[in-house]
Amino acid sequence: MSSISLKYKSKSGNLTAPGDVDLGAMIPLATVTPYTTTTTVEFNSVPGNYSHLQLRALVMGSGYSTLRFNADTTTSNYRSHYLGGQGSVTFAGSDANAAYFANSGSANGMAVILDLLDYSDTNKYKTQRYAQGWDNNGSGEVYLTSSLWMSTAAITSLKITAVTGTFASGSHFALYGIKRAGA
Amino acid sequence: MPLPSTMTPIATQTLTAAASITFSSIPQNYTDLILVINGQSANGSAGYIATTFNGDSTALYSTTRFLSDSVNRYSGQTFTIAGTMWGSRGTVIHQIQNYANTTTFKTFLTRDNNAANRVGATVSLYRSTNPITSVTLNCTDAGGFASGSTFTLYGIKAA
Repeated sequence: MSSISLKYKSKSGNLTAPGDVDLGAMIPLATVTPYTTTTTVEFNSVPGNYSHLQLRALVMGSGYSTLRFNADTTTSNYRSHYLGGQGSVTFAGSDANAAYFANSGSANGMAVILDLLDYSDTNKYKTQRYAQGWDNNGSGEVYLTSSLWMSTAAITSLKITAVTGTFASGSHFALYGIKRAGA
Repeated sequence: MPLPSTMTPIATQTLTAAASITFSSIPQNYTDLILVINGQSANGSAGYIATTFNGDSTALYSTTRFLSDSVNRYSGQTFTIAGTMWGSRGTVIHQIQNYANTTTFKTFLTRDNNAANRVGATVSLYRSTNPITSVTLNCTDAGGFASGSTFTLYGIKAA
C-alpha cells in the first residue's frame, strides 16, 4: 500500500519549506484500477492515524460483492440495513451475516461512496454508510446502506470480493483518509 | 510552493438569478468531481435540476431515484434527463466519479436534502465515453434558480 509522509513542524499545519506537501484534510491513500477482470480488491496495511476513511469506487460489471475487514470471514460479525428505489418500486430491508459493497445489474458501472467512521477506534464496533447506485437507461437501482462490523479491532485491511460477477477493466477503487482538526 | 490539496475548490458561482449555470473548461487532472449546490428555485415550487455535460443533448441521459417526504417514499426513473428533483430548496451534492476517463459511460450519484419536506438519492447515467469538460445545471422551474443560490465545484485527486 502506498503511503505519504507529511512534513509538518507542528499540529497547526505549518509547512517546513516550499515544496512540502499540503494535502488538506482528505488524504489519498491508495488506488486500485484493475487492468484485467478480477474478483477481489484489497487494501492492506491501512494506517490508523486518520479519523475516518472514505472509499470512492466505480465498479464495472454486474453482480454483487461483499466487504470484509481484517480478513474476518465470520459472517455473524456483519450486519447491514438498506433502503432504496428500483424503477418505480421502493424497498427496504436488512441482511444478517453480510455487508454488501455493491450490487449492480449493469455493465455500465455502479458508483459507490463508502464512509468508514472511526475505523481505528478500539472501543466500539465499526459502522459504515454507503450511497450506491447504477442506471442502465431503463433499469436501475439507487440505495443507501448502513452496515456494522461487530468488532472493536482497528480496521487495518479491507477486502472486496465479488460473490457473483466480476470487477471488469475500467473499475476504479480509491481509498482516502480523513483527518480531524488538530491531527 | 506546496502541492494542491486532495480536495480542491475549482470554482464557485453565486447567482443573482438565472435559469441555468455552467462550469466550463473543467481541468482534467482530478479523479472525481463533487458539485455542491445550496439554493432554491425562484418561485419556490418543487422542481428538477437537470444536469448536462459537454453541451450534449438530453438523449444521452437517464436516472433512477428514490425519495421520502414526511409520509411516503417514492421511486422512479427518467430517460431524458440527469440530475435530481430537489423540492424547491436545500442542498444537493453530485458525486461525479472518474469524469475524465474515455472508456466508460459516466455514472454519478446525487444526494438531495431539504429539511422542510424531503430527502432523496439519485443515480444518473451519461451515455458518453467523452471526458467531462463542462457541466450545466438547469432549474426547470419557470423562475429558475433564486438569487443567492451557490454552486461550488471541487476536484478530488486519488493516490
